[in-house]
Amino acid sequence: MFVEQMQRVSAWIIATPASQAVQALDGYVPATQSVHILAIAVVVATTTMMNLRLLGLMNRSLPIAVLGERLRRPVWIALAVLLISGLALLLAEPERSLASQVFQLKMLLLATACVLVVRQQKAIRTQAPEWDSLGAVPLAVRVPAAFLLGIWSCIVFAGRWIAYAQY
Amino acid sequence: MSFVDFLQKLQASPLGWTISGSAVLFPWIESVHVLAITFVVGSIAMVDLRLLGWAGRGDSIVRMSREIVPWTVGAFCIAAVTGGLLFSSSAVRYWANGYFRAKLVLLVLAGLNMLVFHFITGRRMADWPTSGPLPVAARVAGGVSLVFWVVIVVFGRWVGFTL
Repeated sequence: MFVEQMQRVSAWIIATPASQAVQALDGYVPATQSVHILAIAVVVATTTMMNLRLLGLMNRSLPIAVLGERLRRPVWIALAVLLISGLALLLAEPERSLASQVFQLKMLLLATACVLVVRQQKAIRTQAPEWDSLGAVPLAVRVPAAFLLGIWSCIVFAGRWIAYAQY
Repeated sequence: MSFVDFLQKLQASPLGWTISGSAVLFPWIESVHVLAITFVVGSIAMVDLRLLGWAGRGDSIVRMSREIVPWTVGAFCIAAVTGGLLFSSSAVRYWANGYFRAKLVLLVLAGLNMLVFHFITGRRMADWPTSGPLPVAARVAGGVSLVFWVVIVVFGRWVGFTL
């Protein structure tokens, strides 16, 4: 989508002094990518644990309310680091991402994931004690949890595929 | 046959040749490799932070070892198999790369650190307090592990830029 417009935006970013400065830095891209991957590691581990817990597959001896409280903030801190390191990568190599359909798909998936996480965290905050005492999680919560497992995986896959896709 | 001869044979084998000769196999396997690593590193970091006492202080190490670590081991196996497949596509070049070798050494060290923790330091983990600080040896194990895994990820990324 908007390939030409994105290419124009990229050309503008590349010409900025900030972009020129980071392009000249040795190891800037792999170092920033390393931070990006470490942050996604936090997101994948915390969300996978929460989703598998809601599906009754992992951390079964820990109440959902306790796990939810513990994992609520790390996800958003890691997502903030992802956003900042992602923008830092865009600054150095804008065209690689902006004009890429894989990148655009990744952003769409990310937005979907964020909406689902917000809804999930809200449901956990208000209803988890009830689920814990009943020993059951409603289907309306388990289905999005299963979806989230797939969406985060697709986001990681898309991230890696940006490097290979030609469009 | 020298080791490099073996690597030559590996990358010329149907396995190595199929992966290097395909436009899509390498990125697909690499994606699975990265996804598995993110879970491995993220879940190990949780246990490490608990050992250090920096997070999850109300949780017991016994519970974490029982309910988290098996998933971590499973994800690590996926990362190891996919890593082996990626290696087979260009074995000689990977082996010649300093970051790749350093990453392998760090993986061995991280594994040794885990074994020491499992069989020596954490032998009496059932007696450890559920909340509050753990023995110094346990905290050291957590800190060392955290550093190893962060550097493993960094070196892994650097391999891709220095091949």
